[in-house]
Parts: sequence; structure tokens; C-alpha cells
Amino acid sequence: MSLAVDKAALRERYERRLQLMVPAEMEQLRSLPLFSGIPEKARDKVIEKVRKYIHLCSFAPQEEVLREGDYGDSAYYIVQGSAEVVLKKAMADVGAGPRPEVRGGAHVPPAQRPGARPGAETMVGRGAGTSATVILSAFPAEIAPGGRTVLGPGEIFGEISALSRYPISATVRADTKLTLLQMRLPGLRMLSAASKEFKKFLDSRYRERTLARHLRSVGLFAEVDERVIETIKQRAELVSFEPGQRIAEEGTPADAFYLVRGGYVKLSVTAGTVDLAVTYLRTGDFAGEAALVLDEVWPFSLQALEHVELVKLAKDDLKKILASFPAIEEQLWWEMVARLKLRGIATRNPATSEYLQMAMDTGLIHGESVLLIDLSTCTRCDECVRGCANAHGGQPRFIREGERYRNWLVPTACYQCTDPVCMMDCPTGAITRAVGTLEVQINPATCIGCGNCASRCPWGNIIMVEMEERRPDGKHVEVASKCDLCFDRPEGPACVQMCPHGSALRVSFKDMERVITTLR
Amino acid sequence: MRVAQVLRPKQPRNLQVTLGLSAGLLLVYALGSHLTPWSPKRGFGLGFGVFAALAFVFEMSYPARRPAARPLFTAKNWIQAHVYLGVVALLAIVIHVGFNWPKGAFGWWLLMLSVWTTLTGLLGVWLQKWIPSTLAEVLQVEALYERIPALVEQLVAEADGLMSESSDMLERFYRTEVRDRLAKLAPSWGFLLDVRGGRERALEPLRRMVGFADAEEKALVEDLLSIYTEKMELDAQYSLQGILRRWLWLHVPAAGLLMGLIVIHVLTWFWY
Amino acid sequence: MARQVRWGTPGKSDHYPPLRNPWVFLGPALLLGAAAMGLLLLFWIGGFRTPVAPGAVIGQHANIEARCEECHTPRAGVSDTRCQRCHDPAGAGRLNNAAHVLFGSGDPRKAAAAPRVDCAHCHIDHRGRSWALTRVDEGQCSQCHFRTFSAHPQFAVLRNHSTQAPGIRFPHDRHVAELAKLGVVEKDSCIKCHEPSGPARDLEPISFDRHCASCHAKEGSVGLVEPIPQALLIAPDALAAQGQVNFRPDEFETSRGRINKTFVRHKDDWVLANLRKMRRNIDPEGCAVERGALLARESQLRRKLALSAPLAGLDLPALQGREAALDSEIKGAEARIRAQGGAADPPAGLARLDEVFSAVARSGDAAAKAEAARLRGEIEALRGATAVPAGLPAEDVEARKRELLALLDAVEAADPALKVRAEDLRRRLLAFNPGEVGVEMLARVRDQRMAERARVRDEIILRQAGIASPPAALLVAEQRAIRDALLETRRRLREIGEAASGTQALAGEAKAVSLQALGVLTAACQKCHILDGPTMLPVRPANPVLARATFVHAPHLLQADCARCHAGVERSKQATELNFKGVESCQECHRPRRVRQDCQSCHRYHPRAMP
Repeated sequence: MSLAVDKAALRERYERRLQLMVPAEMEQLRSLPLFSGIPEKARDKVIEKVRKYIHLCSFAPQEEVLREGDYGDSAYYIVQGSAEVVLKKAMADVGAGPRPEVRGGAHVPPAQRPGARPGAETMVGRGAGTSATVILSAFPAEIAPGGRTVLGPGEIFGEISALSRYPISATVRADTKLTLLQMRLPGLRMLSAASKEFKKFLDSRYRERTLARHLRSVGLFAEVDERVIETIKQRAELVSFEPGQRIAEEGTPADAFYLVRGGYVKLSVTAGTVDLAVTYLRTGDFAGEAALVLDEVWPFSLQALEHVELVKLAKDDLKKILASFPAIEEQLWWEMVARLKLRGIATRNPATSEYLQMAMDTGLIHGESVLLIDLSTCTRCDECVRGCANAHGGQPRFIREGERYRNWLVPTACYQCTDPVCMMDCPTGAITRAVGTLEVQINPATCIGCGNCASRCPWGNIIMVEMEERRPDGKHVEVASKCDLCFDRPEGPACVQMCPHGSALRVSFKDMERVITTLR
Repeated sequence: MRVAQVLRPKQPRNLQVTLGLSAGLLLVYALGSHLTPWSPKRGFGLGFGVFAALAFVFEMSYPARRPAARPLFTAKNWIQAHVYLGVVALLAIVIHVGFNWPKGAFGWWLLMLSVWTTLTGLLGVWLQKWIPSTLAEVLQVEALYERIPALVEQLVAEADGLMSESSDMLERFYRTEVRDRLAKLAPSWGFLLDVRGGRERALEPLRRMVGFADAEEKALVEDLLSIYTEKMELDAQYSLQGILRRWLWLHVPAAGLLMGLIVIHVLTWFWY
Repeated sequence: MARQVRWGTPGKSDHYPPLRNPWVFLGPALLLGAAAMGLLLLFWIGGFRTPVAPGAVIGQHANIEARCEECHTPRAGVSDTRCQRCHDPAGAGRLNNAAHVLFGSGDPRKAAAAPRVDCAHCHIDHRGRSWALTRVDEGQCSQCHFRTFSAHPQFAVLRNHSTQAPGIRFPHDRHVAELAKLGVVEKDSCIKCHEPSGPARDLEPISFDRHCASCHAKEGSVGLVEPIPQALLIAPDALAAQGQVNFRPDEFETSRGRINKTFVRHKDDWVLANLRKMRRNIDPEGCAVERGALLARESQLRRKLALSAPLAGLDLPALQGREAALDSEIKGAEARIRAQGGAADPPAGLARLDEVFSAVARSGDAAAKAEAARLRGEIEALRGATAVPAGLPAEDVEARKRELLALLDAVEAADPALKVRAEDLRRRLLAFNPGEVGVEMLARVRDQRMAERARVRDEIILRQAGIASPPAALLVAEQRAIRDALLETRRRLREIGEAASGTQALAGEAKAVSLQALGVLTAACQKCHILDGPTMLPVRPANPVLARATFVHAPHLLQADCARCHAGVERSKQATELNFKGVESCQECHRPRRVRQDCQSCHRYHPRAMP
């Protein structure tokens, strides 16, 4: 890791963060059309609550507001001035672009390669490419690569990235002197819940910009006529669910098609009295395809695992649409037949469910590259830890402690989550994940040891390490440290390479089939 | 039987290659000894000696896998090469001396150290397959070796806390019969053969106590049972992980001594 | 809910636990290795070498075990010179492979071309005090020879029909029949004469007195001598006066100028003395040859004896002196080789001849001049010839040898001052082998001198390193053998008498008369002995079938009777018949898994010290 520090950039970011400490003024907020949707009586109360998450920021011309590939946690509302949106790379397809190789043992499920048709379940589909590299366009689709567009006052951007925890899909720069209202994610959520207008505002943005593309990623609609997509775009409903809320119940007639916009949805079947998790759906996945064309009951239940945003397309609506396009109906029908054929071939491994339950209960399901140690061959020799230490200047980055599942130990090593929550509160931006990579890295030069990331990680995989330097108050300087998949090591992760018995593996929990075969 | 299962090679192909190589070496010996009388200091005998010496040098360089696993790509390849080549090297030594007993003290030292090093190495192979398999299949608790004493202290503190809320009788029972044994980490060689050894007997008084305790105390005693079981599992972990760490003392110093003697052996052959 | 035993680690640390030092095992291991090396090196430097030795040396070498340099040369292993220091102190080179090849084949060219085999190649020490160092792995023999006894070729003597004539008339069949008449069963008749000998483990040598006298020398006499003219003989009293005979007058009768003996013993000294006298008169050349050969052998043995003083007896300056002497000898030999090699015509020798011719021309002897002119013509012809003359066949060589020996005898008789030179030439003549060119012989001599010089140099090095010299007692047995041979040679010389040259050979009638008288004189002897003209052929007992192998009858007699291998003896009429089947009869029992059939059972590798 390079220790060269761009002091100017650091200072700038620091100033920026300082600005974030200052809540916006009540008057200013009240005057905004954003809040007009809130009933008069409740408005002040809402604004009072939301204020601390909303900040006024100003940018000089040509100053960068958002960088393509960065993670955002805020929506930006232009109060004054104009912002320029530049798209550097081609984003032709959702999910296009090479999926990064996970070296050192994590398995890249073939199902997740671009263009693959994963799973044989006809009711469940995966988005083509369910990884951090998928960048949903949060901007008008008319931006061609290398092109630019200008947004004026009243426009909002970055909300999709914030809500879905995705990297920013394009760079936004201040065109003129720019005044922005930065609304951080908690505030966004609160506002969506309180103000129907605001929610509608956000939804309409999504509908305009992204839904079409999203629909195209669904196999059923991939080849469908443009006009059908447009109509669907208008007719589709954008719904939200709270954590734990049931979306669909097994056995009830399937009357809608759901496309996941953001968050995790658990898909389970009832076996006796127990709810057995079958799989999970995340952004880009969908359920209930067959229901649109056939008369079916839900063969499984859907439940929101966290805050979930869905696109719902009711059966009746689609029927109405298709009435105008009979040829399309036939096309859809033939697509469905093909899928039904595959359904017959599908074999479901009962163990899949067990592993999946475990992964969901423990949170491993988020992991793109989870280190697992097979205790039935591990001789506790600490070579993995020693290798990690040697690769990182004498300090290891994980501890061989953790929960056990059967004969597998899940040590305290960063899972390289798909949606890393640790990245959210970093004041200096020391913790990053570059576009096209899997590793979440911490830059020790810029880390100030605030411990936000460490307390945010649900599994405590980030450890604060004491350095030799001391702070002015006498305590040691601390730096956050976590596994970075040995990204600068040609052979890949040292832990896997140095285990003499091959007990250390890295698996991606994205493809449960592969997980089963690996862990058996 | 797990014993047989445990001895299964991780890479059967390497075992096959080793067996083939051994057969080849024996064939070379058969041919060579038929053509001329076998002598360790010339011809084929010398060749085998040189091969064995070089093999031992490679074996000694096993610690080099840490900074530079690259030449053999992974530490797994290193250990495979180390074990199989070690066995072949012993065979090469025995062929080098023409299947004769040594004639002098120095020769006996060399041969016995070679045999000891190889046998302790194979013992280590068995231990490294048996102990992890035992720990994983039979025990639930997992802990870092260095942390186990602290964990036992934690368990004692937890039990103390639990018992402080209990009746006098229970607390007295705990203090007199249970606490001392709970607080003392008790590693034992017996765990190698039976990792659950002694558990039933140790838990017996507690189980009896469950019968004596009344309704609200039953939960406490059962919790205490669970704590004690955990402590016993930590005992087993400590013992077996300790064995895994300590067996190297049998293997490595002998190898070092052998290396020194081999150097002298080569020097005397060269000089005289 | 009840507390459960955890799956996994109870709690997690919030800091990385410290790692064990990975060098905690290797450190002590390397230390131990270094300590072992250091200790052994200290021992080695201090002179205490046995810890690093691969094993104890055999008991006989135990007194020199402490100093490795007694046998080992640093970086050069065990050289033959060191072994020869004690085991061949005379430096005869009889323990090396060339000697073995010569011993086996009799062909010096083969011997010269034989590969070098170090002593230590087969005799491997450091295998413990009671190891049998002389026991050599049979595989070593197989390197040059065949592998198993079943592949052993027929014995050369039988194959080539090259048995030497025993020099005696002996029909086995008649003797067996005679014994049968006396009641001796055929089976037991063999041991009547071929007695198994206790100490020697083989058969007693046949001796007239033990085995033949009981029938052939009744009352001690083998016969009588018919009257012979006294003038032809030496009178017994004259011989008695010379101390050569035991004179018993009652055995002799003289009448009318003839003398006869009534009682002739075996090896009767009067008969033998007269036989020698007559031989000298009839065949002086033959006598001269025999005498010359004996003289040559005597001087060879004397030289051997002189050279056999071990180097141990010499001090450092003497050794250095000997080295210098050998240096000059080698230089001389090499010069002569260079002189002789390559030239089609021999220049140096011919130059000497010119001197001779001019001397002859000056002498005025017409016959000599003519002879010289003829020789010159032959030499000129040789000079012009381009072809390299081929080696002479063996018989011609023998004839030439005889000529030269006679010539030397004459030269010595003519001019006693040339005695030493004549001795030298005789010795060189004896060393000459048929088929060998002069250059090869010179090379052989030079190589032998070089080996000797290497020994001397090695001895100097060892003396300077302070290693004691091997005791002179090692040589006693060898010297005794040489002395015994010398005494025997001198005895035979005395028997032959003085130089016979100058005596004109008898010719024509006188020769016939003499021969006839000889016949009468040895009539009793000729019952068994064979006379070739005036020469009685030497009796060679029991032609050895195994010319260069040992065979001991004793263990074989325990297994079977004589007829098992020596079938057909009772029908054998000639003494020249071997009455032995050959190697097949050995292979009947000496087979794998029956009786041992390793090479060393019968064969020796090294020739004996005194051939």
C-alpha cells in the first residue's frame, strides 16, 4: 500500500466533512419544494427530525462532488447552480464488464458470468451480474459514454446509490458555483416514510432513469418490444417493505411480479412448521415471473430481510398491456414454456437450504470472499496468520477465532461484503472499494482511528491496532486494520497459500451450489 | 474406522508417484548389485548417498516455504514434497549402505538418526491427521492455544457469578467439589486416544446434583454442567493442540544433528 | 434458555494475539548440528580420529588405527603404495593386478595392458576387528571373469593337452595288478602310494624311498651296473678323494680294465657323477646352457635379495639417495627407449658393430674376416628392409637363448674380467620373454623402476610426517624364501661343475662309444627314468591339472573314493596320461545350493612370493 499522502486532497475532504457537521437551517428547508408534500402540521416536526441529516454544501466551479465508482451515502439536491455529469466508461449493459477474479480460492460461480442464465427456477431469477461491479445507472439513460449532461436547480442525484449502496455510476462536477443540499441516507429514509410526495419524487426519478434497464435484465423481458417496456414502466408500482415484513405468502395465488430494487429478500418454503430458507434475492433479482403468464400459487414465501425497495407488476396490469400486443404475449408464452422445461430438470439440494439458513443467520450471505478454515484438517499451526502477517509488515489481519459451523470455522476475517456497511461513516474516506475489485481496503495513511468502521462491522472483523506513535493526550494512535485479500500480492491471499494442509479456503456465498460442493 | 480414514492420503497421486519411485530405486539397486559388488563409496552406492544427502538438504529447507512459497506455489506442495521425499530419502539411505548394518559408531549414529527423523516425521503426519479430525468431529469448542488459560478463568468467573445467586447448599457444593477442578486447567495424554475421556466421571457429581436441586435451581445446575463441559473441552483442546506443537521437538533437533553428521560424513569421504 | 456449550470460540479477542516465533525449533536444531560438527572437528584436529571412522579396522591393523595417514593420503584415498609398505616391502609388485594377469596367463603383454585395480577396491577395511579382509566378494572376480562356476571352462591343461611329460615311465595298470596280487582291493590300492598327509592336508609327495623302494629296491639296491671300460669313467676312489662319493669298495669290481658295480642305490652318487662327466663330454653345449641358466637365476636371486631390504632400514638421507639413483636409472631407460623406438634400423647397436668389424679386420684372421663380411652383408640387407621384422616364434627364441648362453659361457671362460658383464647379460637374457620386443622389455623395466621410485618418495613423505616405518620382521619370510631358492640354485651349480666351455664335444665314434657306456651305466635307472641322449630328464611329480589353483584332497576323500574322479587309472599305461575327466567332475558337486563354488575356494588372486 502506498503511503504517499495527497495532503491537499485530504484537507479538502476534511473540510468537506466539517461541513457535514452543520445541519441545515430550518427556514431554508421549509422553503424547499421537497418538503411541500408533507402536511402543514407535521412539516416542522419532520424537518426537525430530518435536519441533522441534511447539510448545505457549496462547491466551487470544477470541484468534484461525486466520483465515479465511489460509494455514496447521500442524495444531493441542487439548490443553486448547475452540475455537470460525466460518464467516462461505457455502461452498455447492466452488469457488463468483467467480474473481478477472486484469487486464492474463492470460487466464481459460472452462473454469475455475464450472459449466463442462472438457476432453473422459473419463479426466481437472478439479475445478470449480482456483484459490486454492477452499476445501475442513476442518471438519464441518454448519457453516452464520454458524454456529459448538465443538471440544474431542483434536480436530485445520488439517491439510488445511497439507497442501494452502490457505487456512483458517473462523475458529478460543479459546472458553476454550486449549492447543494446533501441528504444522508437515514434522512432520506425518514423523509420517504414521512412524505408521500418525496417518495413519489424519488420513485419517479427511478422510474424515468433506471426501471427500463432493470426490466431488460429480466430474461422474460429481455427481447420484448420497446413500447411494451415503456408501458410497463408507467404501470409498474414501486413499493417498499420494512425489515421482517412478508411480501408474499406461500400458497396464496401469485398475482404479481416483483423486481428487487434494493435490499435483501428471503425466499423460503414451509416444511411442517419450520420456515426453510431456500435462497435470497438482492438487487436485480426477481420473483414471480411465471405468475405473469400462468395461473400459479406462490410456491414459496417472500420476506424482507431489511429495508427493501421492490418494483411490483400486477398480473392484471400486464394482461391489459399484453392485450394491446398479442404477438408479445405469444413470445412471452414460449419463453415461459422453455423455463418450465428447465423446472422439471431442477434438482434442489436439501442441504442448500441448511447452508443458506446458516449463511443468512450468520450474515455470511453478504460475503463475496469469506475465509473458512476446515477444522478437521487444520493443525492450528498458525501458518495462515503468519503468512498474513508477513504479507502485511508483521501485523496479521485476522484472528483464528469465530463461530463454527459443522467442521468449518469462520474466523474473524473481513467477508468483503457486497454492500459493505463499514464504509458508511468513514470521516476521511480511508476505507474504499475501487471499481472492478472485490477488496475493501483501508489506507493506513489516511485512517485516523476513529473506530467507526470497526463498530459498524456486524461481526467485528475490523480490528483497531495500536501504533507506536502517541497522540497528544498520551494514548497510542490507532489504525483500523482488516483483511484486504492481499490485493498487492501476486499469488493471492497469503492465508490460503500458506496453509500446509489446504484447510484454509475462500468461498463466495453468492452461489450456494458452489458453496455446498466446496464445503462438503 | 476413523483411524483408517484419517490415514488416507490427501493427494493419492503423490503417493502413487512415491511408490513408483521407490520401486524404481529398488530396481536400480537390484541391477547395480548384480553387475558389480555394491559399495557405498563408489558407483551406484555413492549416487544413492549423494541423492539422499541432497534430499536431506531439501528437507531441512522446509522452513523456507514461509517467505517464498512461490517456487512450489503453495505451502501444501511443500509439505507433500517434504513428507514423501523424506520417506524416499530413508529408502535411499538404506540402499546406499547396501542393506547392511553399519560397521562403526558413526555409521550407527547416522542410520539411527535418519530412521528416528523419518519415523517421528511420520508420527507427526499421523498426529496432524488424527488430532484435527478428533477435535472437529467430537468437540464443539474451538480456541486459540494461548488463550485457553484466560478462557478457563473466564469460565470460572462465570460459574462464580452463577453460583453466587444460588442457595447456600449449592454454593457450598460448588465451592468444595467443583470449583477447584474447574479452575485448574488439566491437560492429559489420555485425550489423544479418547478426547471425551473422563468426562462422564467428572460430570457425575453434577448430574447427581441435578436430582437433588429443586425446580429453580435445576436451571443453574444445568448451566453449571454446560460450563464444566466447556471447560473439559478446553482441556482437551489444550492437550491436543499442545501435542501438535510439541512433537516437533522430537523431529527437528534430531534432523539438525543428522545434518551436522552428514556434513562431517561427506567431508571425511572427500578427505580420505 | 439453558446455557449451551458453544460452537466455535467463546468470545472474540479485540486484538491480534502474539504469534509464536517460527524459528523456535530450527534454532536449536541448527545449534545441535553445529555443536556436533564442532565437537567432531575438535576431535579430528586433536588427533582423535576414531569417532569419525566408519568402523574399526581389523585386529591386525589395530596398532596403526590411531593415525589415518598410515594408510590414507588426504584427498587421494588409500593408495597401493601404502599397502605395499608392509605387504610387499621388497617392492616386487606381485600384489597388483598386472602380476595377477601375468600369473594367470603368463603373457607379459597382457599383463602390461591389464587395468589397474587398487588394493582397497577389493580389500575393504573398517568393518570391525574380526572382519576377514582376505575374503573378497566374488562379484569382483566377475568383473573380468565369468560369473558362476557352471561357466568355468575346461582346465587349460586338459584343453590344450599341454601336460608336461613327467619324465618317468610308470604304467598304473601294472602296478594296480601287482597290488591286487598282494591282496589289496582296487579301492584301496591308490592310497598305498598316494598317501593322505596329515599336516599338509593333501597327499604325501611320492618319494622313491617311501613308496617305490619296497618293491623296486629289494635290500636297498635297484640293480647293478655291467662292466664298463674304466677309461671312460671316473674311478670311485678318485671321486671319493674329491669328497663327492661315499666309497664302498666292496660294491665295485674291476677286471680287465672294466669296472662294474654290484649294488646300485637309488640316486647312486657314483653313477650320477659319471653321468654328469659323460654328459659334459658328449653335450658340452647343453651343460653350458644349463649352467648359464642356473648362474642367471643365481644372480637374479642375489639381486632380489639385495633389493629386498625394506625401505624401513634406510634413514632419510639414504632414502633420498636411493630416490636420486632411481631417477637416473629411469632417465637412462627412457633414453634407451627413445633410442630404440621408431627407427626402422637400429642405429646405436650397429655403430658398435662397426667397431667390432674394424677390430676383426685388424686382427688378420681370414676366417673371422670372412664371417664379419658375411654378417655385414646381412646387416646391410636388414638396414635396407622397410618391413618391421616380426617377433621370433617361441622355439627359435629358446634356441637363440641357448646359443647366447653358450656364447656367454665361452666369453666368461676366455676373459674372467668380463664376468660381471656376462652375469648382467645373462640376467637380462633370462628376463627376456618370447614375443616381446626389446622396447617393451625396456618399458617394463622403466615402469618397475618408476614404481620403486614412487615407493621411495612415499616413504620419504611419511618419514617427514613422522610416521614410523614398518618393522623389518615383515620381510623375513620373503627373504628366507629367496635364500632357500639361492641355496638350491647353488647346490645345482655345484653338481653341474665348472664351466664346460673349452671342452670339445665328442664326435663320431667316440661319442657313440660314450653313449653306449652311458646306457650301460644307467641300465638300472632306465627301468623307470628316461634319458634323452646324455641328459636324464627331470622327474616332475603329479602334473598339476590345476596349474594356478589350490586343490586339497583331504575333504574330497571324505566324500568319495579315488575312482569317482580318477576313473580309468587301472587301465592307464602311460605316465603321461592324466586320468582325470576335467571340470565336469568338479561341477558334479560344486553347484549352487550344494557345495560352495566361489572363486576363492580354489584360486588365489595373488601369486606366491617366491615363484
